[in-house]
Amino acid sequence: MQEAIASIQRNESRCVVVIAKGDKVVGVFSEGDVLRAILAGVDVHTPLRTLLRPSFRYLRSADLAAARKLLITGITLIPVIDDEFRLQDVLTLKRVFGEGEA
Amino acid sequence: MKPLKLLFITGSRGEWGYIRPILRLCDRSPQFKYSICATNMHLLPSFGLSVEDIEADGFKVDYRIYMSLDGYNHTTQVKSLGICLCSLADVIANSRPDWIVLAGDRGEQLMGALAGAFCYIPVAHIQAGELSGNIDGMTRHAIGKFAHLHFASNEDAAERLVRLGEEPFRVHNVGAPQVDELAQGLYTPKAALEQAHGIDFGRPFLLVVQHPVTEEFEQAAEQIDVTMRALRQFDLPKIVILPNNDAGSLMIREGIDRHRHGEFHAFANLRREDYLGIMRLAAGMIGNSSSGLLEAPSFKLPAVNLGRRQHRRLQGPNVINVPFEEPAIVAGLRRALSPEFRAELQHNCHNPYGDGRSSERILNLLRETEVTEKILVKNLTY
Repeated sequence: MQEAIASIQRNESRCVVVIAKGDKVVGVFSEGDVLRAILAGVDVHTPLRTLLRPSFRYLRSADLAAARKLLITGITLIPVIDDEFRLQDVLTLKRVFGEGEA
Repeated sequence: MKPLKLLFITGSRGEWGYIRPILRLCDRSPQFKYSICATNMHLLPSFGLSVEDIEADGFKVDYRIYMSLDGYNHTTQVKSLGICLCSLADVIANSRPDWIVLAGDRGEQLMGALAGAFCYIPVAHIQAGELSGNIDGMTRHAIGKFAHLHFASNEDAAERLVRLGEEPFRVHNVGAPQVDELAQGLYTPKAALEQAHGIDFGRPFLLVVQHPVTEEFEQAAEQIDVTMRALRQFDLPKIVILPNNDAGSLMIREGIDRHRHGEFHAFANLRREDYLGIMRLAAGMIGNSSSGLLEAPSFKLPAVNLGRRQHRRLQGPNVINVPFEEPAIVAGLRRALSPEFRAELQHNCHNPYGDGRSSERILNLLRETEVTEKILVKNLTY
């Protein structure tokens, strides 16, 4: 979890995309997940695989309109994945609403 | 009259589904007081931390037993049960219940039966007497030997208990309490499911629930690979519920991640209402969960049942049994999804596990059963 927290601190999206062996996206780990883990008494050195919720929202293309609908629900980052769940792109709040306004 | 004090032990979303309708009835009656002891998967973040669902349902969790060692192999499973048993002795000493109420066939339920029997606290067992494969089948019947009152969900199970030497006055066919909530329509409607999960449930989709088979632990990875390869041949969205934490569960989870493909949504845990709501909308179900046999028939949902985990268990006409072989699974799924099979089920599918009034029967029996030496001291009939 510590590594994920460090990555979250560096990006501005309050979460990270988690990729497993074979390059498949297996989840999105957020600041909210960090808080839940702390409340559950989980140690910061706990492996992410035991904390990661396997359900996450995703898109198949960088469809900004579809991304806006998801992002206004409170999500801050959406992975764009192909049919094999390999990461193709990442849509962030900044990118979607920034580009949208442009 | 003093309220009857009940201690419920729950370790997984499975038996939470059996006991929640009973607790709701207890809440409406001054004749019962209860405490809840949550353990095992309920307390694990990696399995969805379902203790939060219990609390979100408005129930207070009085005791938490952290028992699960990482590793999810046979050795860690046994050691985890030892931790549970040690802790249960203290829970029982502190709570001093009139009855310990257990359900199903999981290891922590067996620990509850052992602890209750050795402390001479009467034990009531829900879903007693059934057949199932896996270590769970042996566990259920071991619980039966320590339980003082058996609540069977059907005549077949009740008869088995008597044949296994249980005194007939202890055995009652009450139906399966998890069917009670189905009969009451307590499941999340489609619109609310779509809002909560961002998934379009208006199209046909498959529900997948596969657990490891403890006696086939070394084949867990291969078994999930076979299932996932078969599923690839169906261009339908898949809603996958991750397995329980039996030995082999990590291999199953890794296999699910390895095979994510197409429209694929995996959940470590779902609120029970959401799970039932999704089941109601599914085109078909595949896996080896008891849910395919106990709950799916209420929705006339075709269920492809894989391998031996539910071996010889009473089942309705919605169940198609196939081995862990890709061609057989594909053929089973094709049959399950065929208009002919679905039409058959519309006319001829009732749930052999009850009529939706089990909880009421269970509480009546607990209230009416006087705890005397006749109850506490068991004699086998053979």
